[in-house]
Parts: sequence; C-alpha cells; structure tokens
Amino acid sequence: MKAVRSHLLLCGGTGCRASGGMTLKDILEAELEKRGLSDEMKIVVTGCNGFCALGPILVVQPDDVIYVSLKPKDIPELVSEHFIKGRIVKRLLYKHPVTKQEIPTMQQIPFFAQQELRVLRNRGLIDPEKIDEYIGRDGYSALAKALAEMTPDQIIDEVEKSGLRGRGGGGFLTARKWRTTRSAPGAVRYVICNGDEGDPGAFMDRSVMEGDPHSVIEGMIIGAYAIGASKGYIYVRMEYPLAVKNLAKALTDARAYGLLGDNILGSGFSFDIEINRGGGAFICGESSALMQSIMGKAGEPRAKYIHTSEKGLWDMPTNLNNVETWANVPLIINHGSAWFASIGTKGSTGTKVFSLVGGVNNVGLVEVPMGITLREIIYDIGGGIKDDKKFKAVQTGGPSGGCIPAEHLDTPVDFDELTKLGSMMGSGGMIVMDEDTCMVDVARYFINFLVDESCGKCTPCREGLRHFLTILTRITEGQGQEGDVELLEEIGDGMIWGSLCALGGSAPNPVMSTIKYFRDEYDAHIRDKKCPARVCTKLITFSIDPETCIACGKCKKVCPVNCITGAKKVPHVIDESICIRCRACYEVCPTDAVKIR
Amino acid sequence: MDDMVTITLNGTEIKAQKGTPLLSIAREKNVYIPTLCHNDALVPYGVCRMCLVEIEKGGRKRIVTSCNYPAEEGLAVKTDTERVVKTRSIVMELLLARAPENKMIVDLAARLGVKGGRLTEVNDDCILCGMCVRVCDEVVGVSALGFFSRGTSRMPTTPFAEPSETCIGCGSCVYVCPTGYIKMEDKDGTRYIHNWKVALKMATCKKCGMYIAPQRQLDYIRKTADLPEDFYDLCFSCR
Amino acid sequence: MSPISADQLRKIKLKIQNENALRYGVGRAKVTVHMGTCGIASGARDVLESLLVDIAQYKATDVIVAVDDCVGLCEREPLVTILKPGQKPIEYEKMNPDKMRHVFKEHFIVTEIQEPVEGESGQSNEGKRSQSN
Repeated sequence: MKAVRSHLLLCGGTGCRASGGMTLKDILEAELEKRGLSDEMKIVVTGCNGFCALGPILVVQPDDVIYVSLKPKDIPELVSEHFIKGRIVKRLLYKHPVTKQEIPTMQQIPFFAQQELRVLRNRGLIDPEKIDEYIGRDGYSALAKALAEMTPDQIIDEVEKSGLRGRGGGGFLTARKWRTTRSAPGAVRYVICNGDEGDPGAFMDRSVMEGDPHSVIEGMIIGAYAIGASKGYIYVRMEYPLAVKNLAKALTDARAYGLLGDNILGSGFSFDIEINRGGGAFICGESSALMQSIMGKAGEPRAKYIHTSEKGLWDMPTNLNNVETWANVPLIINHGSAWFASIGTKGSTGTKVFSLVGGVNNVGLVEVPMGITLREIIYDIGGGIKDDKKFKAVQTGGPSGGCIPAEHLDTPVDFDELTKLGSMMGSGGMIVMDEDTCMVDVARYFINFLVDESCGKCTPCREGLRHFLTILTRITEGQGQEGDVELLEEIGDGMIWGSLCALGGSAPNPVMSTIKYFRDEYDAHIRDKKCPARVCTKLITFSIDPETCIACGKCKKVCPVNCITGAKKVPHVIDESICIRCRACYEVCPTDAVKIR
Repeated sequence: MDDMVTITLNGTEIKAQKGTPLLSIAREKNVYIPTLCHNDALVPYGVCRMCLVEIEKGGRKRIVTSCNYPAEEGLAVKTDTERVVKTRSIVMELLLARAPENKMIVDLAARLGVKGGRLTEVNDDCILCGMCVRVCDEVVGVSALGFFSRGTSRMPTTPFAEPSETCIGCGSCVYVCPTGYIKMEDKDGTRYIHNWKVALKMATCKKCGMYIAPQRQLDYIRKTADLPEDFYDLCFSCR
Repeated sequence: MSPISADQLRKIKLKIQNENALRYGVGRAKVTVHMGTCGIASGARDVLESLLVDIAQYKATDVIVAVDDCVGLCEREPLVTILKPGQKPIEYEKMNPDKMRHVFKEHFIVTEIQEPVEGESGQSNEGKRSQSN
C-alpha cells in the first residue's frame, strides 16, 4: 500500500460545475489511472472557492498551486508535467489582469490575499459531503463545548458580546432576537435558517450551504440549545438543488453521529432539523412571508406589531437567522466574543461575505472584515474595472439597495454607513457598474424586477412600484416630463413610510439613490432627450464614420435587420429608419467607426 | 383592571384595554381615521395603509397601521402629523389612479383633499383590500376565494379562476366589498356572482314559492348548524 | 455510523487532521523527490514509491511528500530534500529505494521514538502511537 502524496482539490461549486468541473473530474480520474497515479493522488471535490468566473478551479496540495479555467485537453499535460515531474504548468495559472504575470498560489492572488476567511473558513478545503472532514477542521467542537460547558444564557451573553448582527439584511442584533425568543412563552420554540437567497447576482448563502453545510447546522444546533428550541427548519430556494442535496446529506450524517436528534452528545438536549424548499418567490426571503410559506400558506408578509420571536411558526416563538449568521455562531463559541469583535467596526463586528459582480476584473465571492472600504473591495480584491473603464457606481444590498457613486468609494462598508448613503448592506450583493451604465436604465431594471417580486399585498409597494416602472420607462424612452423626478420622489417617500414590510420600504432605494447621486442623468433624459451613457435605445442613433470605416463588411454581416449598405472599399452606411439599435455593429467594428450618439 | 393602559391620542390621555387596536380606540373617541380594508367582523389585515398613524414609544417615532397596532402603556398616538398626512395622501393618490371612476374612492379622495391626474390610470375597481377572501374564510368558513398571482397582477379569484365548486352564493363577499367591484345578481331563480363565475339555483318556499336563497347555501348552513332536513322548506314569512 | 461522544469527536478530528495534513500544508516535515527527466531516468520514481509505501506502513501521513523539477545537479540524481520546520534542509544524493527506506527511518521513526510518546499538542500523535504498537 502506498500513501497518498497529493490532494487534488477540485471545486464542486455550482459555478465550477456549470463550467464543466465534473466532466473534468472523470477525465482526471482516467488520466491518473492511466499513469499509475491513482493510489498516490487523491481527487477531492470541495465546496465553492468563490472565484467562479475562472472555473473550473483545481488546487494541488501540498504544492499549493491553483489552476484556473481548466479544459479537458489540459489534463494530460497537467498530469505528466506537474504531477509526475513537479513542473508547474504556467499557462494554466491565474494571470494578473494588469501585469499579465502568472500567479501560482492562492495566497499570492490579490483576489484571495486580502480576504479574511471566517464564514468561508473551509472553502475549497473540505469535501462538503464528508462530515469527518468538517470535524477535522474543528467542526462540532463548538457544539461540544456549548453543551458541556455553557448554559444557554452564557451562550447568548457570548453572542451578545460579540456584537453579531443579522447577515440577511436587517442587521438586527442576533443575541437580542435569541433572548426574546428564549423568554417568550410557548409550548415549543423553533429556529429557522433563511436560505432563500433571492437577490439577482448574489450567491453567498448558496456557497456556504453547498460548500460547508455543517457550519450552518452546527450554528443552528447551538442557537437552538441557547433558545430552547426543539425543531429547526432550513428554508432553501428551489433553484439551489446542490445546496439541498448537500444539506440533506449533512443532516443525515449529523443524525447518524447523534449530533442531531435525541440527547445530543449525551447532554439531554434534543433537536432536529428539516429542510423546506421554497418555490422561488423573492418575497419569501422576508421573514414573516417565509414562515407563512413553511406553514404551507402563500408567502406574504404580515404586520410586525407582534414579533415573530414571540409568535412565529404556528404562533410559537420562532427565531430566524440567515445562513451566514448561523455559520458565524460556532466561531464565536470556539474563539470567544473578543476574538470575533477584534475585526470590523464598532457597530458592525466580524466579517461579511459579498458577491462581487458586474464590471470588475475579479468576479466572485469575497469575505472581508467589516469596515473595509468600497474602494479596497473593488480595486484591490476586485482588481479594478474591466477594460480600463471608469467606475461609475456600485449597487449594494440586492435589487432594493441603492447605487453609490465614486465620491463615496472610501466609505467603510458596514451596516450603518451603507444605510447613511441611501443604500443598505442587505445580504451582501455588490454590483459594480462602469461608465457605460445608464443610471436611469439601472433604476428601471431593478424596479422591473421588484414589480414582479412584490407580493402585491399592500398598496404603497404594489401600486408605487407599478407607477415607478411606468414613469421610469417613459423617461428612458424620451417621453419624460418636467416634474417626473419629483413625482418619483413623492411616491418613493410614500413607499418608505407606508409599506407593510421591509421589501416595500426598501424598494424605492434604486430610484431614490440614483436621483440623489445622478440627478443630471435624469435631467438629460427628460429635458434634452439624451442618454449620456448611450444606453437607452430610443434616445440614441447609430452611424458610421466614413473616415475610419475600412469597409470590411463585418457590420453588414452581423446586422440582424440588414440596415447597413456599402460595397468593397466604399464606406458603409446605416439606415436609421430601419436600425433597431442592437449594438451588434458597434461591438464588431474593428476600427471603432460605428458611432453612437 | 390591571390590564388597562394609558395612551395619549392626539395629546389627550386615554385609558384603554391593553391590546385594543388603536383604530377602535380612535373611533370610540370620534377621531376620524380613514380605512379601506377594515371590517369589525374580520381579523385586521393592515394592507390598504390608509389608517396609518404616528406612534411614539421610548422616544422613537414610527408610522404604523392603527387597525392592527395594539394599545400599550405610554404610547403616544397622533393621527394627523405631517408625516401621516403626506403618506396617507400618496397612498390615496395611488388608489385613486387604480380606481379613478369608483365613486367610493373618488369621494374619499375628495374628503382627504387628494387630487388625481398625475399618475397613469389603471381602471381596476378592485383595490385588493382582501375583504372578500377573508370574509369567505374567516366568517363563512368556505374559503372559496384566494389571491391569484402577486405584485401588480394580484387579484382575488377562485382556484384556477374556474367556476367555484365550493362557493355557496351567500353574497358575503359582495356585502363587504368597499368598492362594489364584486357583482351579484338574482335572476330567474338563479343567483349569479359574476366575478367567481358562479350560477347557483335558488331554493323556493314550499308554501309561497318565493326564492329563499341558493340551495347550496341552505344545505351548507343546515349541515354546519346541524339543522333538521326540512328546516329551510319554508321562507321566513311563511314560518 | 453510530452516535459518538465528545471524546470520539476529538479523536475523529485528530485522525482527519493527520490524514489531511498535506492539504493544509502543516506537516512534521516535507520530503521533496526531484523528478526532472534526469531524476526519473536515474530511478527517482522507485525512490518515490518506496517513500510512499513507508509512509503508508508507518501511518506517517503528516510527512508531506512533494515532487519537484530538476535542480541542476543531474549527475547526483536521484536527489531527495528533507525539510523540517525551523531547520535547514538536508539533501540526500544518489538515492535508491533501500537508501530511501533507511533515511526515512532515520528521520521519522528512530528520532521520534526517543521523544515521549504521549502528549496532546502534536498532530503526529496518531502516527506515533501506531508505530510504537
């Protein structure tokens, strides 16, 4: 028998699977077999690494080398060069977007180097389907400690001292919620994990549920013990099949080890967890709507004059926390509140996971200390704006977050600072927009999403969003009128104060923040009938500059409506009356002769 | 009694039973608060957002719906602050755009000094107060109605918008509807509730031949109240 | 799987940490076998095999094995470098499976036996126990 000398950590996150990660696994397995290396090199399918745009990702240990964007045809070379001869295959390494230098290890890639991994402590390191691997990373030791050495009150005190605030958007103090639920009268108490991550472009919670399901489960068991809950639910959205699969396996294994069920670790405490699959409605991420959904009713929020911590599921005291919040709990128990609060800001301790997407060079999942500036996230970790374009705005907090302009890039990111800027932390979405983005169009885009996702129960949210969309649409189509901006502000104000739930209250953010910071763009659309970013199709025209046109015919070929005429050596011409402004000619022109005005 | 609390309503101190909805307290004191989704027979729903009031508790001001916010010790309630009036007005304007020709809505808007004309009209007399759905469930106990879809396409309807098989034609939804959106008609021995595509045969009095009520409704009441088989053979006048 | 105690939980943790030491780059030592074309031609592959068999036999999974390219001393191949934390690397030249076996025992078995076997701190406890049995 031979010892294994290398672990090949193949990312098994949804992103890497989508880019062919599992096919790669089969090919790699076959190649290792062929070269007689099967018994000394072990393939481990891990959770998401967060660098999803560059998948499939393979990390080779103990050499600590990360390969990105692997293709099946790369495998034989990788095996013969690196695995047999110890030569790193440079062309398969990550290349710095600016210096073009190849970077062999994860720690040297700026995207990873500046992160502070706590919630994502096991990312890319363990096989999420193996409970032992989680235990090997200190897993369930916090649970053992909590049950053996701490009273429920001591646990709540410790969480309180840590300053942990809800990672799902509200930013409510976790310990306070736990204490209310613990002291509320009720025959049974429930805990819920909100895994209904519905923000477009956000995948923090998915990554944790898929890649490290036990960290969530352990947090929930500790929380349930502290609260006195006997039953837990993990509410996962329908669109996350891998998260459901991995969570289900994790629950089965935890049950088999006696970490769930009756008399956990001989402590006398009993608790179990059930998975509940959401139907894919954005509103079900709202806590009271989520509880309705678990009870089999339509997912609609209810008035909050009675807290769900007192009367939640089946009118019993119920504590709901987000995936990331739960995953933080074992860390606080293991390392103490002082350790937890040692990073972050005064009002927002610890780290936050963001999904950094949009116009940045490094797209992916990042965990950073609270209080880091937007600039550090976007420029240092994100590697700056793609194609050397100018930064315009960053939208934080999901579809109902606000757009923050360049002048506030040095704002420290925490719950309170983002709110002050007219945006919010939300669950950690971060969409970066470059100079080619029209802010009115962006506001319209998010409102269009929210119109479909509002439950429609209360007047301000339902009707307000309807008129938002009508007004924004007419502005982007050049039909805007004087007073439209003021009307938007009035409706938004009514929604903020009058809506039933937080979705309605925050839904005006994309509109209000773009008016606040980009009012000139609204005015340009309304008064001059111009779209400064040249995005709104009804306000732009396409033409070909005869001086720079080389008559290559490429534009003519891609035009879907055949509105471009021209022959060899004759500059081409666009017929504006037929042009549908699809931008195809603009994208394809090799000499930038196509002009948008 | 020790579960009495003291609150102030527009500056006046009032003693009230703890937990009483603020709206009830205000009405008792003849303080006007407009409502569109409230009915004393139904559990408060808090969706029309017309009954907003400002409350202050521990120095923190909030806007809440008075129909379901319970009285608690030391609460200061104001029904006409600038914030309340401003928010209520925009909610009214939104509803007016939804049902611009509905007399009840137009009258209420006029009473609140809200003019229309700024927003694109929707022309839907249903203001989604949900009273039809709730009365059918909470009072009648039949639950023939529910909401279809969400957001701007939300509407009260029967399952799959098919002619209801459970509706007993009692007309409770029609009586509670504040805007007259739900249309009911008794014609040639049949009760029609057009919104739910329901047509129910009416039972006749065995003595005078007058129509009493839909047969399905009488059957339902007889069954739930455990009444004798012949209980509804005669109309009320002939008994 | 059957229900476990807190003590068993700790045991699983130590076992896995030992098994997966190479994944986290924390081992008791790193043994590098130079596997350039010259190394392979002079038998480095057999040296590697022998090393892996020994590690498996003595359950010394916290001894991390790496393969590396030629270091330019082709006439002295196969070359093996042993690096222990806080110590200077030691180079062994013209290795063969027998010499490798000897070097392995010298470094990881003999010296370890002279140390006290019990103790909670090291990750190599499992390995020590099993080889003393």
